[in-house]
Amino acid sequence: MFHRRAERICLAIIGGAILLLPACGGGAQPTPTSAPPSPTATKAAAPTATLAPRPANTATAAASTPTPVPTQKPATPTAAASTPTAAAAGKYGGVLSMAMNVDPEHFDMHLASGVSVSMLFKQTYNGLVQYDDKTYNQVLPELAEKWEVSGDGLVYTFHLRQGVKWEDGKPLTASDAAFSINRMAHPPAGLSSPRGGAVLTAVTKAEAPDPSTLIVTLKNRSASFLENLASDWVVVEPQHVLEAKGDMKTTVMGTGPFTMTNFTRGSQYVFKKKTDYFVAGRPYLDGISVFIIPDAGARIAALRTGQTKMSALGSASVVDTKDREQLKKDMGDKLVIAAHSAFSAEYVYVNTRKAPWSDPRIAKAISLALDRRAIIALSGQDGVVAGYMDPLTPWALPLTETQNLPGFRADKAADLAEAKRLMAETKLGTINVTVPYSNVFEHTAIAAKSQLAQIGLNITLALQPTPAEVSKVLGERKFDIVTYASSQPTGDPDMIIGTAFSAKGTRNYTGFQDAEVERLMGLQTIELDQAKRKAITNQVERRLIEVSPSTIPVFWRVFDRLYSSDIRGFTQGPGMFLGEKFDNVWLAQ
Amino acid sequence: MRTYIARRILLFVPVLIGISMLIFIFMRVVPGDVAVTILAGPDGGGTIDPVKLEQLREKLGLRDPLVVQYGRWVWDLVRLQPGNSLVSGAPVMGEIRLRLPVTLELAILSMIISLSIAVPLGILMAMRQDTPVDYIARMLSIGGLAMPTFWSASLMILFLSLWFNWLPPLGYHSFFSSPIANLKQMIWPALSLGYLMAAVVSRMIRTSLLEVFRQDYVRTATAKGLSHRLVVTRHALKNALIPVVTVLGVQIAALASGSVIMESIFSLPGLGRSLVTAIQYRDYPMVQTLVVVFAFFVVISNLVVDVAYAWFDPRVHYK
Repeated sequence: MFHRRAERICLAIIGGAILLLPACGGGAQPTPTSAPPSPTATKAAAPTATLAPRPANTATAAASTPTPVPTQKPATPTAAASTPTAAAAGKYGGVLSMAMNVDPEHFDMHLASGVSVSMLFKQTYNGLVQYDDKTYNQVLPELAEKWEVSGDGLVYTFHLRQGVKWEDGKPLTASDAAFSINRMAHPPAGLSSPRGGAVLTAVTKAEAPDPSTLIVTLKNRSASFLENLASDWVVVEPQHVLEAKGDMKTTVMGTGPFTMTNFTRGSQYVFKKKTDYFVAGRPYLDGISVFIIPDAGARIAALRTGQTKMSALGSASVVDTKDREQLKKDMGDKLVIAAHSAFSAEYVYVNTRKAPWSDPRIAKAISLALDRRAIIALSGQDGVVAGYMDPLTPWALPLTETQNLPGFRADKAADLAEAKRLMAETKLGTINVTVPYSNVFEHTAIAAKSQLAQIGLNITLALQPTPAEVSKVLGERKFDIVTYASSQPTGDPDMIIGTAFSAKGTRNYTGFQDAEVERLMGLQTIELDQAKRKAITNQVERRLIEVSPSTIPVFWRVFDRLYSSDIRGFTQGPGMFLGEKFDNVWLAQ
Repeated sequence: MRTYIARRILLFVPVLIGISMLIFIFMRVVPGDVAVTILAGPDGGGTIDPVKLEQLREKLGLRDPLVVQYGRWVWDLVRLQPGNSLVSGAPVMGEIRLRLPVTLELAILSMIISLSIAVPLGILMAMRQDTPVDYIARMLSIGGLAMPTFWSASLMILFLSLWFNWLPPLGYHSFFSSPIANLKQMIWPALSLGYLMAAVVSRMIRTSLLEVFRQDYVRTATAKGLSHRLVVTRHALKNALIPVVTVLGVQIAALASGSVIMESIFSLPGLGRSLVTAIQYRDYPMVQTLVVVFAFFVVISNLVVDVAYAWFDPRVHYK
């Protein structure tokens, strides 16, 4: 009845549209089974992670990871390390493509704390010293060629390398270094630097008596000071630019191996190699392209198709276990998975300044009642149950000891009974409490609600609008119980234990105090012999286990770095802020 | 007609003022503090010193009375210099200039795709009512309505990478600098969004065409001996499209929310994504300005829709 021609025309348009659109979508190569180029030739140089393999949560004697004693870190570098022309072992050329999940909030390394800032701008700046990016157990010169420490350990004198220039041609002087260190340790009014409360707490002041000498004065002897200086975050920014502009939030100008040539917020950041970098023969790479890919599935797809060769640290690399296994199957040898610690743990904070939480039996009962392995399973991420120190650092007690402690062990029956008994002793009955939490770490809060209900804590969860709000609640120190995570820039005992458990620690939100812990921490912070320091740290950990403090560790987070085996010269270090400068990295093809 | 359009354009001003006040109040009422987010960092890992917090608030002008802050922002907006982002320090106008073309292009491409699918499909469904063709087409359109866009977009990426070992090029290419690369990136999100919109519009066309076919004047036209093609195109279609134009107007507003999801999944630096990030940070100047920009486009497109009525339906007279 109706006109057939019109109908045929409509069908043709629709059919044509459906057929043509994928064609204008671009060249498709329907050969998913094409074998990757034979990897045997390049296998010899394939990177191996130097960290111990991922520890299991069932610490039988066979499964425990050996805890290596930290090697003696030299206070002054050997002469061989002062000339920076390393032997060329890599191939020149190629652009490394990397995926990141969020934009950096701004470009100023002194003021930021997000990993997206450090991943990008570590390439463009240098620090005074750096970690050995292969073994991560010694501090090597960077802008400082050599240094001396005064007898009392309070004054460090650094001798800076000559001939280093900023991108605008002006020379780097010790004055720049002093300005940067002072800016980070004691920021001017209106600015706030996370370095002041963390890696540079011990610094009183930095001075530059002449253009090639930097003198840093400390408040107290600090065994961790040099390592803190080696953190990726401590970089030298140009004084003349800082004085002119106030901050470097929108400008990048450094001495590093790469320079940022252009960027589009939300899309990509492009870095090109510097031809006159002060380490001759470096960097190997022609450039680095960082793409902002917010969706996790898209990042995995980009890795799979080879469009990106690695993802940035932190949330960009968080991959569901199923996705990781699938990726391993699809990419086979072309994928390297390096497990590393993040110096980060999730905690339950119990505020001893408020009644009734000042009763230590409550914190002890909570620690006993928490089923840590169930929380890890709920989170869907990798985690290790351990004590009060990051188990992937050399400073922690062995897992065979910590994973079998009451509260931390797998069998909860005896622990639960003991927890109930302790709570009954307090005669407080059922306690109603509101627990603020952030959606990023909701698994701990949700699990704690049901697990702690068994010992008489009636928890109401209060979701905070942003993770930063939980930090604010903790900082105000008026809370009852909070579940949150804490991460540190280095794996040093001063950082992980000191900031949380010393009476004046910047992250001691719960008001915990123990005379013995204070005494031991005071001893370890000035002990320069690594073996002795480890012994003291073990004592601290055992003491903490004994008193069961109000800052209760739930589990230690383990991250996986996924990257293509084409990337050579790269060894994934512990934590997120060590050794991410790519001057020694090269591409196999 | 001209007076009508002029009056509508004048009405923009109170509408935008109302929206600006609403979003300003809303952002101040919502819990969450931009100073806290700036100090603690996006992952919330930093420690917050109450003294520094107050200093930062002072510096950002957050301690001034609300009326002063609002007035300052509106005055800046009128001069087209809505200040800097509180978080990155970069000017908001620069962000908008960079991101607006991306979102606009996505919206235009989605509309083109959706109309080119929906119009023929809708006409087909109406002309072949209750035949297998109609049922299949209706199933396709219900599928489009039922599938969430984030799901179909993620599936698209998964299948592209798994089956074809191919992904759209990373790093946004603008249409004017490299059109092929740009289309390769934009076609997929536009397809997702376009399919959803086509589902709605095609059903609308079908329903309203069927209604028009039942009208007397169509019967007269057929009885006159006009070919069916002429009956549909000259008489029925124009009248059937009136309700469709209404739906399209509403869809344009929905494009804004759809673009957020598409921009996140396909890594496009568009306005939708920067709005979401700004909201997470509570970056007040950014959020407020972007909302006003979105509102402006919605208001303009509604004006275009209203004017289009007059073209489609001569009975409509604006005074």
